[in-house]
Amino acid sequence: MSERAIPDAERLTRLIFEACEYQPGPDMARLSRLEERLNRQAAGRQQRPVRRHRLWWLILLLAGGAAAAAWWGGLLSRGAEPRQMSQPQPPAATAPHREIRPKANPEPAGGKGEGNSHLIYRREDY
Amino acid sequence: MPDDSRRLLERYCRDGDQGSFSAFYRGQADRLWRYLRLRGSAPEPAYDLLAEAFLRFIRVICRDPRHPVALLYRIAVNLQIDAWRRRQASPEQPAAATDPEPVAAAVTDDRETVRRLLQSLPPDEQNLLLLRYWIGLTHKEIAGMLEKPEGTIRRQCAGALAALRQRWREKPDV
Repeated sequence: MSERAIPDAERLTRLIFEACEYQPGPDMARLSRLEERLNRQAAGRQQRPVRRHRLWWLILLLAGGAAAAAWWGGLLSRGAEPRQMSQPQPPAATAPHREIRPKANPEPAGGKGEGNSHLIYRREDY
Repeated sequence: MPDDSRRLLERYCRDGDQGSFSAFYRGQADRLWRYLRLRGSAPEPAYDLLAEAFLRFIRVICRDPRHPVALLYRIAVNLQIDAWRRRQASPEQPAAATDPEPVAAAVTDDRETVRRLLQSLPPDEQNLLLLRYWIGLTHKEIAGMLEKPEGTIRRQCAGALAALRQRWREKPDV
């Protein structure tokens, strides 16, 4: 049989597969027993992430509760301060303006020269 | 098949579906045992290694179930190497378990020739050929498993195949 042709790469890879695939296999009963054991282990493993999940929810809930309590606490303490401090001030820009502009021209009593002028106010030049 | 394995394990990890894990086990256990045997383990240690490999696999698979087959074989190979080291370290244990299994079939069979040639290759080359052409892992998966660049694995696979052909040429009857 030494005359056999050398297989090409494709045939050789197929032969590798077949050579390994058709070799004697294990005792299937033993593999089944092992499967049962592993299934128990696998079931135990699967429950842990769920428990961990629950723990994270609890932590999240507690943190949320603490944050809400802190917020309400801050709000209440701010509410206890004097009311006028928190009342909005009237707009500052409009009030002085109204005071400066008089509704009528005040006529000085007896003063004719200045009384004819429409000029109410002139800025002084220094 | 690797895609099927991946889907099964993703279902197991996501939904806790025991049936998916069982299906994966049934698809892999038989082949993993034979792989361990081909790599030189005696039948009994091969069962032990198989069990231990699956137990460790269960512990870690749900962290990243993308390449379950590669992970399983990586664990098994590491356990096998540890077992070899322990055996070498303890003088009482015989080292005969690494001997290849006696072959009953005729040597004239091409499959048998390839099997014997495979066992005559250095362990690294043998391992690459088994993982690539029997287990069906991709070059990328093998690269991840052996922690080497993909290009290196590609070259080494081609080299191992060439070495096998060379041995066939030199002594086809082994």
